[in-house]
Amino acid sequence: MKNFITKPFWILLIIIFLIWERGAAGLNSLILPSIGETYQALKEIAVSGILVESFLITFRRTVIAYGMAVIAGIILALLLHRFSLLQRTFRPLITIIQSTPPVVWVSLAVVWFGVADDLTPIFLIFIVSMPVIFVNIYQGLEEMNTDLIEMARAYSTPRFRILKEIYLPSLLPALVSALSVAFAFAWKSSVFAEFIASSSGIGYQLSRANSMLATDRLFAWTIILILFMLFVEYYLLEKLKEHVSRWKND
Amino acid sequence: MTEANKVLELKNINKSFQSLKVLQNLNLEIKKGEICCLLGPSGSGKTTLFRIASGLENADSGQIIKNNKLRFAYVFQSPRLLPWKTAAENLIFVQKNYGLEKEAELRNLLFELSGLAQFKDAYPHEFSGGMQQRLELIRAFAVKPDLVFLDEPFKSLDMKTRVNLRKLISVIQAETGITIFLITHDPEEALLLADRIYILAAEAKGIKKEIMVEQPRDSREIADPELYRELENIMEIFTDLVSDIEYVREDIKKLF
Repeated sequence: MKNFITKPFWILLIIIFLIWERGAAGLNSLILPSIGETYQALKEIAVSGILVESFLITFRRTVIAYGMAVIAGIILALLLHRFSLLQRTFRPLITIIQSTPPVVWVSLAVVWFGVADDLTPIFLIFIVSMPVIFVNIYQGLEEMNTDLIEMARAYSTPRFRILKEIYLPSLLPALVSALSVAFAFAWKSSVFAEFIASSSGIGYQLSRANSMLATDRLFAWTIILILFMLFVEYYLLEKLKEHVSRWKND
Repeated sequence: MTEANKVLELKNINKSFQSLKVLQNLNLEIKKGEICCLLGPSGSGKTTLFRIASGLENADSGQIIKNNKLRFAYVFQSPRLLPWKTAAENLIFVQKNYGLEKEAELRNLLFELSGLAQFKDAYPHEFSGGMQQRLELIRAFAVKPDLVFLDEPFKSLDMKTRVNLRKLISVIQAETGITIFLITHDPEEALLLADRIYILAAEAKGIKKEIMVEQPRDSREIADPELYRELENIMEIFTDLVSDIEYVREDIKKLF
């Protein structure tokens, strides 16, 4: 978290809080709840157990779909890199999937799966984050230093060791970057799909707060979403990034 | 040269890249335990020949005769080190392929000889260019090879590092009898190191001359009359290759 919590950021955060509090004082809490009201709402959803329950539901869906997207993205990248016929056939399709707005996928998912609890969010997360993983890994493979592979072959290195000790470490930076970008996509898609077409999870709670004009709850859930995203991005993934690039000259 | 003495033989090698003929009917042989130098100007196909001889690339036609039981090692023009492995791990990486990963003493000796003893656990990005080249060089010897291919290993190094590395190769070769096939564009380097020199001429696309250097390597000095005469001969061949420049002297005057 050390790269994230810097002194200027704290100052900015304090300024934002001051503006928020100042703005809330002159406005109806339906439009802008105060920090105190938001905290109260946060406390309520935490005490009632909805917070943990909804968080776990969204988290579970994200992890399942994200995991599937990571595996599929890597396998596809390896296959398309290895076989040029597959590359020529499927590469444009992945670009099409990637450039289709998520709202189209949600609409289609509702038509195909109905307002299903798990299927719609899982489908959306998968379809949105898989191309991100694919593109990063594919690019990593394309930019692979073939000189090192040639050196390893010249010294009669077995194929398995080339994969493990050259391909994998070469791809790790691209993989970590892909994991990072794709997780942000996955988390947002999950909430979006739940908002539109689910009856559980954080997205659904946001949708409920919205329809009940409970702006304080809307703010409370948003803070939860942001905090979790920051924890993943600046703590978990940052640690992973540091580990994989320890041999790099920064 | 008896058949048993040969480590590698190239017969009638031809190689083209699209319409560009790089090697034509090239013949060459390397004897066990010698330092053989392939000398030639830039663009004469030295690296292509290196790649064909070492098996990294196929020739269009011709025959490469080598004993597959022999162990080959390679030193590339620019170091090909695994950046995510430390210096020692880079050596172990290749040693493992031959079951030599437990030979820590050999690694230590090579680190000592190359002046890298303090940097065994450092990553390549922490090394200067010269240090990386030294690591590339000792990695080749870490696999206890029968034949080492060196493709202009000193090309981008300063004079001091060049002299040190040359000495290192010379000493290791003298003590172990490992066969060395060195590619260079520097006639002095060839004369100081090699037992046999092949001169690759650009226009002939093949070997233009073969020179045997009989003097003991330790006592060679380029100021020595005999070696100096050889150097002049080589320079003459090299000069022949650029003699066409005279034809454009007038054009240069006019156009500039």
